[in-house]
Amino acid sequence: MDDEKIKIYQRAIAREKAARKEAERILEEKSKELFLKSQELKVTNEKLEELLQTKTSELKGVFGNIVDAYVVMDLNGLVLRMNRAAQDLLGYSSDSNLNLFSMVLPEEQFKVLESFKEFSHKGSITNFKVKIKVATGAVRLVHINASIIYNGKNQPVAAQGIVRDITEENAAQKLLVESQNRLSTLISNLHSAVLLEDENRKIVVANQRFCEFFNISYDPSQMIGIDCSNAAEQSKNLFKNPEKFVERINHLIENKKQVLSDELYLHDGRVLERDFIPIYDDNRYRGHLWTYRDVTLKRKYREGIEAERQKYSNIIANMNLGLIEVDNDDNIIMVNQSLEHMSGYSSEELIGHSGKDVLLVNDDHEILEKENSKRIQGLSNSYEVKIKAKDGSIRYWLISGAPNYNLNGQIIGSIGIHLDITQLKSLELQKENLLKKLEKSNEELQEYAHVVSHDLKSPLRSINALISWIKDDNEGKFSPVTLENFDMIDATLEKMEQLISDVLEYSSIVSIKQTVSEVDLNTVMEDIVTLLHFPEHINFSIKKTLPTLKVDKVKIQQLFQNLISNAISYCDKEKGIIEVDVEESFKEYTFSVKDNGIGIDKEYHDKIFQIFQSLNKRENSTGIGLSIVKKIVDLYNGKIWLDSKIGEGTTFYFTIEKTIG
Amino acid sequence: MKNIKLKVLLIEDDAIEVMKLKRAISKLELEHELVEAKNGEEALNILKKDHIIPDIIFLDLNMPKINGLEFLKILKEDEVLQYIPTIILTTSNNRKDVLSCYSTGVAGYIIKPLKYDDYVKKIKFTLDYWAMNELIKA
Repeated sequence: MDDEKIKIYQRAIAREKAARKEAERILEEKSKELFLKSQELKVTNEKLEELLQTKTSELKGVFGNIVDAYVVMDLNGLVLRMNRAAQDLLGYSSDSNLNLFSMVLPEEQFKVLESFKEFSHKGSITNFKVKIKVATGAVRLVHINASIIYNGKNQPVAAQGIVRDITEENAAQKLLVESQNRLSTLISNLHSAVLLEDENRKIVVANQRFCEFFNISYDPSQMIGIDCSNAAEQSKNLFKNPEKFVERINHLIENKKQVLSDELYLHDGRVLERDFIPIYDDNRYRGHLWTYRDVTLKRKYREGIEAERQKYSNIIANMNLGLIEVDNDDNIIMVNQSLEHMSGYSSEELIGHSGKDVLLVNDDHEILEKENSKRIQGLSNSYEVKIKAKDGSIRYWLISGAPNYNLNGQIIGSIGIHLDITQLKSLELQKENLLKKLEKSNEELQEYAHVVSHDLKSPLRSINALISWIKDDNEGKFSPVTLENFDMIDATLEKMEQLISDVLEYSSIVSIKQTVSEVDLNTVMEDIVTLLHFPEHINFSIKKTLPTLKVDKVKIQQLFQNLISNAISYCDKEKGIIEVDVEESFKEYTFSVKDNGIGIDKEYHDKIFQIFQSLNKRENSTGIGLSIVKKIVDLYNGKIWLDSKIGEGTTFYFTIEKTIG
Repeated sequence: MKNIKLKVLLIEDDAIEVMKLKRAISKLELEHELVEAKNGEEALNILKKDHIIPDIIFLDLNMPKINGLEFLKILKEDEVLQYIPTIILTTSNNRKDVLSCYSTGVAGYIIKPLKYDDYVKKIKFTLDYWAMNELIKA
């Protein structure tokens, strides 16, 4: 072995020694470390054990004293343990072998089963609500949070849970929800538009009406949270005075004082009333409530009523009728200008005084009292009274009074409208006097006509007598011509006599009510037939039964008699025919007298009714007969006309109203 | 049948009318006595002062002073004279006159016709009628 080799070995051994030494040192170090660690661990374990023990006892205390019910059950629902609160809630003691599943109400069984499956799978359940029947038989709604307990091999062995009775809480919750619902229904159905903003002008609530009022296309629920700080500016153009609207809103929000019934006029004619109600909570401003009401209709009514009132008070003030309002004791409450003017008294002199004392002439007190008592019974009436004006002159007033009612329908007096009819009254009196005078002078005229006719007729009689005596005294001494002349004198006298009679008759045709009676025209015809001499060759007939009229018998007879005697006079046929007929209409009778005589030329149809117009110069014709006929027909508001053909005959028609007088 | 002689009072203002009645009576050859009065006053004098009581009175209505109707009323108020039949002899057929004459009380109302012959006939009938009547003699 060479040295080299030795050296190498020596070096290797040295390296080995050093390495061993190092290893021993590390080992020593490590074991020291280990010792220290185990020492540390020992302390920690001790600490841990201590901690665990504390915690366990702590937990025991907690579970026992926990306010909520705490239950541990096996996986079949059998209660293993429960705390005091659980025993109180369920009504069973912990050693009563209670199965929780048996407490569940039948209708909840399925839900429980489902939930339990989930629970087993996930290992826990929260917020599970179920209705159970407790030992007392009462049903309780309980809230459960539960978890599964596993053993060391991670196998589920039991379940523990906290059970809370939320029956009452639930009921209160329900009530709250209900009242909230009610409130929101109320708000949404309000006639008023409602907008609630918070202190930052964010919308909290708006109702449907609000959206409608301002033509907002959002749903009220979509409005919540919208910032309103710029709303006034945006909607100002809806209003008639936009700047003022914005100004007012800014003012309200700044001042935060309650302001009610602001009026807003919109361009579309609507009028809104706005309330601003700030909301304070513990003196802290929390927002504000806007409410709007549409008062357009109300306003229009009010304006309408105001206009009507104005109109009527204008009428009352300016009408020419005096107006007095009195209370139930006849004390004057109100008079208008016209009444002041009419009476000469000022309203101060009248108001508070009794109307009858100041104005009425004494004799008329009775009338007024009678009429007033009628009015108290609620009757409207009108009557005339004599009034003494302030200047002492006597005036006639026509009063129309009506009871005045208060809002409850009680009579509180009356309102009278007064018209001064003094002038009318004097005219009426004048008219009455005139009528009386006229009646008298008519009568006098009648008398006069009779006297005149008597005085005119008497000389005729005398002449006739004298001629008769001349003839008697000179019998046989006169020539035939002279005798003929005497006859002509006689004929002239006769005509004169007839003329006087006819004129008298014509002047006698005036309406006299006293002589009107029910006249049966058939009787009148019989009289006429007796009175008139019908020649043999004339056949007189009445076609229909004639009516009974309320007329003057003498005049109606005269009427028919004149027409019939005319028909007799002007008959030129071998066989004369005279027919009387009648047609009845709704309001009048049309009589006709038809003959087959000589006929009347058309051009004389009007003329023949005029006085002294005789077509034929016949000896016994005075020309008054048809005038009398016409005058009588006129007297009964009738018409007279005729149909005629020369040579063939004439039919006279005349009407008489059914209701005369 | 004996001829009864009536005493007739005619109250008439017209002379020719008086003549008419006179001549009628003589023409009829009647023997009645005619007493004439020109008006109501004169007639009352004859009746009351002269105590001439006629059997019948013919009375005209239209007369001056006391007219026929007024005279009639006075007559009817008299205890005795009211029984004398009074016949109106007139030209007036005024209905009002006829009514008031009858209501005051007349025995007849004769309208004088135009023709004298007719008048004579009427007078004859009237006088004959009253001559037949039983009259109160004074």
